[in-house]
Formats: sequence, C-alpha cells, structure tokens
Amino acid sequence: MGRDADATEFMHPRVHHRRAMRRGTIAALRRFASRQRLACAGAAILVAVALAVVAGPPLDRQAPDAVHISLMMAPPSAAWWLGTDDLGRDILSRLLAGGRISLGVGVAATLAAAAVGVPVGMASGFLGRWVDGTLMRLMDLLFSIPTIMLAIAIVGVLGPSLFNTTLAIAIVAMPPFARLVRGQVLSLRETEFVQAARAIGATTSRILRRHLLPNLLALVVIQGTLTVSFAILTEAALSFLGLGVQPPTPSWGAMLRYGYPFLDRAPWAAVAPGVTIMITVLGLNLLGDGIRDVLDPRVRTG
Amino acid sequence: MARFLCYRILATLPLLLFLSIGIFSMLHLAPGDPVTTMLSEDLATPQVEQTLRHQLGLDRPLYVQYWLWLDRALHGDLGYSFRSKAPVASEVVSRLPVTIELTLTAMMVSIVTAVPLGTLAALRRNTGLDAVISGIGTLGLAMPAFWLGILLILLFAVRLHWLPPSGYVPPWQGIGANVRLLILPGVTLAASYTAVLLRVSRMSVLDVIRADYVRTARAKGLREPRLVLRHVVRSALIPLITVVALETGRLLGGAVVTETIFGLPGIGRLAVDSVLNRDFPILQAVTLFMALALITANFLADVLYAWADPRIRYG
Repeated sequence: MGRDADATEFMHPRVHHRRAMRRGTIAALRRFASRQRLACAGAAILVAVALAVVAGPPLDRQAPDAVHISLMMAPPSAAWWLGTDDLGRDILSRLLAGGRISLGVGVAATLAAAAVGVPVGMASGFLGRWVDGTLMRLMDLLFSIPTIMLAIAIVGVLGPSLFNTTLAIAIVAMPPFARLVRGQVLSLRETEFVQAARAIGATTSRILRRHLLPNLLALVVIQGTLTVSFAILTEAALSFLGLGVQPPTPSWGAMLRYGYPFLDRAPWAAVAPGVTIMITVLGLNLLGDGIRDVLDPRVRTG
Repeated sequence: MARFLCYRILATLPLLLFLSIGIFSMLHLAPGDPVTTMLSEDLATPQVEQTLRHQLGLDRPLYVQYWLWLDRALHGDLGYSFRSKAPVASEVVSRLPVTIELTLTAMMVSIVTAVPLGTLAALRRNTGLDAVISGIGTLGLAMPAFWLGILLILLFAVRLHWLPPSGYVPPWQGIGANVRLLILPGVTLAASYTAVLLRVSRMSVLDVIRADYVRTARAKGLREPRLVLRHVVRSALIPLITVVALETGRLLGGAVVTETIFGLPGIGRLAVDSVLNRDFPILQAVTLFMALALITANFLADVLYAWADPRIRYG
C-alpha cells in the first residue's frame, strides 16, 4: 500500500485498496520478488517444508512409530536417509510426522492469539476509558512474566498435552497483538475517514468492521508471520523440556529431547530435528521481515 | 526525579498484587490434586489424604488460603515444597546464585559483542561486512537455545573434549572449574539476546547517523572516531537501554532451557522440575520471582532512560 500512495492517499482506504488490486496482484508480487530476495528465499523454504510435511507422511513407506530393534541408532544410509533413533525408528518419517504437529501448533496458536488479541486491541483502542484501562492492565499482567515461564506455568497447571501446549502458546502470544492493534487503532480513530463515517451515523461495530479492520490487516499479517515462528520455537522448547507433546507423538522439539541423551553415539537423532526447526524459523523470519519492509516503510531494516 | 521514582514505584504495587492473586488462584484452581501426587499408592487411604490436606491447609476456602499465603509471603515464608518438604524460600534462594551468574554473564557477553558489531554494521551499511554481521544476527534469532546448546556440547565436549558438557561448581569451591562450566551455557544463553541487541543497535545507529547534528559535527571537522564515540554511539545507546530491559524476559526464559541442558541447578531448572512434580508452592514462587525480576528490570530501564535522555521528564 504505502509505496504507491500518492494522489489516492486521501481517498477512502477501501477504494484505494480496490484500485491497487485492479492494478494487478501479479505486478505487486513481481515487484516484491525483485526487491525482497531474502523474503522470497524465506517463502521458498516455507513452501518446501510445508509441502514435505503435508505430502510426506502419506507417501512414506515407514510408520513414524514403527520400532526396529535390530536397527537401533543406525547412521544415515540409502535405506534410512537420516538414520534411526534409539528405538530404531526412522528419523525422516518422524521428522515429517512431527512437522505436522510443530507447524500445526504454530499456526493454530497464532490464529487463536490473533482471534483474541485483535478484537481486544480494537476494543481497547476505539472504546477507550475503562475498557482500555481494564484490558491493558490485563495485558500488563501477562507481559510481566517472561513468556516461556508463563507458558510453563500454564502447562504446569493444565497438564502437558498437545491441546494445552497450543493453548499456553496462544495465551502468551496474544498480548503483543492486542498492544500493536490498539496503537494503530488509536491513530486511525482520529483520521478523516473514520470521523466522516461517524458523522454520517455509522455504528461503532460498523466502523470497527468496515473501516478499521481492513486497515489493520497489514499489521496483523506481519505480526502473525513472526508469531508463527515464535510459536514453533516455544512449542519446541516446551516439548524439549518434556512439557509439550507426550511420547510417542513426534514433534521436532520432542525428537530433540529424546535424541540428545545419545549425542555421543547417534548425533543424527538430534541434529536432524534441530536443523529443521532452524531453517523453518529462519524462513518465517525472513518472510516476516520482507513483508514488513514492503507494507510498513517506516520500520525498514536496512 | 524523586517524584518520578515514587510514582513509578507506586504504579508497580497494584500490578504486583494482581499478579500474586492471578498466580495464586491459577495454580489452586488447577485440575490435579497435589495430595494424591505426594502420596505413594499404598499409603493413600482417605484418612491419610484428609489429614495431609488439613496439614497443608488445602481444605480451607480459597480466599483464606490466599490471605494466609500473602501474609506469610510478606514475612518471607513462602510455604513448604510438596516434594522435598524444605521451605520454598530457601529452595529458591539456594538456586539464585547460579541463575544470576548465568544471566549476568550472558547479558555482559551480549552487550559487549552486540553494540560494537551493530555500530560497525551501521557505519559500513550495505557492504559485505554489514551483510555478514546482519546475517549472523538473523541466524542467531532463528537458532533455538536448546539446539545451539546441543551443538556446542557435541563439538566442544563430546568431540574436542575441551570443556565439560554439564554440571556446576560454585565459584567459592574453585573459580577455574566454575568458569569452565559456565562458558558453554553462557554462550548458549547469550546467542538470541545478542542477535536482538545487534539488530537494535544497528538500526538505532543508522537512525542517529542521518541526524542533522551529526552532519553539523562532521561539517565542523570532527574526526570520525571521535564523532562516532561522542555523538553517534552515545545517543544510539538510549533506545538500547529499553531493549536490554524488555528482553530480560528472553534471558530469564532462556535460562530455563539452558539450565536444563547443561544440568545447572538454577531457578529455571527448579521451575521445570516443579511442573513435572506438580509442586505448586515452588512453581508459584518461581513464577512470582521471574515476574519480579522482569518488573524490576523494566523499572531500572525507565529510571536509566530518564537519566540518560534529559528531554524525558515524567510526573
């Protein structure tokens, strides 16, 4: 949006938006590709990982939980591309199946965090007064505990499971959404088009949905991309500590947990999930930074 | 300044109160019964359970339990661990030195590496050097602490045998052993924190370097090293203060993971163990302590900020 906002700047943002759409999404994507090489590399990594995780398990001959006692800690070979773990399970199969858990938790937690955080931020910023005061003090409360520690405490209370881990990550990821959205709404509230909408008698809920929400989209997309990477890292950390998904369910963090006691005999069991987490998070961060550079020129990194 | 300090301290009190209520009720409304967890199968007759529940005060109304807990907590009595039966306060205090040593080491290492490197990257912006430094920062952010820790153990302990893989020796029992055991955890914990500080210091130096007064200083003939140190770095450090404080949470959270990998008997390890044992009083105390540490860090940041930037006046 920002880059070609010239004469159209003072129009209603939705009109502007529609024109930009007509001008061609393809052209915009091409411009993005030529200016944001790193972000494209990040997107390519993500597409590759997502494809492998979605298409991999059905194509896989091995069951991720199949135990081969005679093949314990076999090094990578033609038959076992990434080797086997301490129970003789195929690491590649587990990596693909675990990816469904890790990526699934990452995306689900982010969606849940945004689904609560965005309305909270909008209500806080637009309604102000005691709504703002109450909601923001609540966010302060969540902000005052280090994120991992808060997630650990929540999982500690609810008990470790796939659902509770996702819930805990969603809770700790929510306050940043609320704060960012609130800040944006505070400045949008004073703009002419919102004042105009109010003057012609639009209801609060209409203003929020039709006028503010579309203008928050960029911010939410940027924050969302970075939150997915945060969520994947947090899930991995919790599972690594034994407070995430429970065995035999594979997730990348859980694989690291059960691989690292055998570091001296079978390093591949820990190296494979570690590298996978790293490149996935790297891909997400590169893409998130790239999108931010394009959508929000004020905070350009370089 | 004094008024600002008073105001800032008073503003923290309600936060602390609600925090303690939140943490207290959250842990006590949780499903799962600490009494059944504490007793082994053959001992757990209803009679015994009843007595134990009464001894621990778990049969009283929640608000009474909170009030008693708060009253005792303010007197330094945080209850007894369900597991070890030792006083919670002494459990936590005995673990403190390890975590403090670890986090302060990591913080120092991070600041000392990140600020010069970030400044250098900004001064040589859009060159190969900048790309390399920024690239390291991006990689550092994507590197989970536990994964880096595992790699370091694999390389320096398992393969090269240069450093011990895990364990802890207090400094007063042997400073050499203490330092050797803290090198790998320190680097592990410092990594992502350094990456954040690196990005921020690069960006904030970039901001300052374009400022008018820097151009003026250069125009009046100030030499580069003096210009960078006196005019650029000094003002660029101000936003960094906030980030150092805000990211203390990252450091404390990272300590949980790092202590677990390297077998360090610190607060973070205590937190993980308390969850696995459903040891509520310990989990409560550790969560509160972490929050307290973070709130204090933010408070110090506000004070430092006001002190460093004369334009900012509160209250």
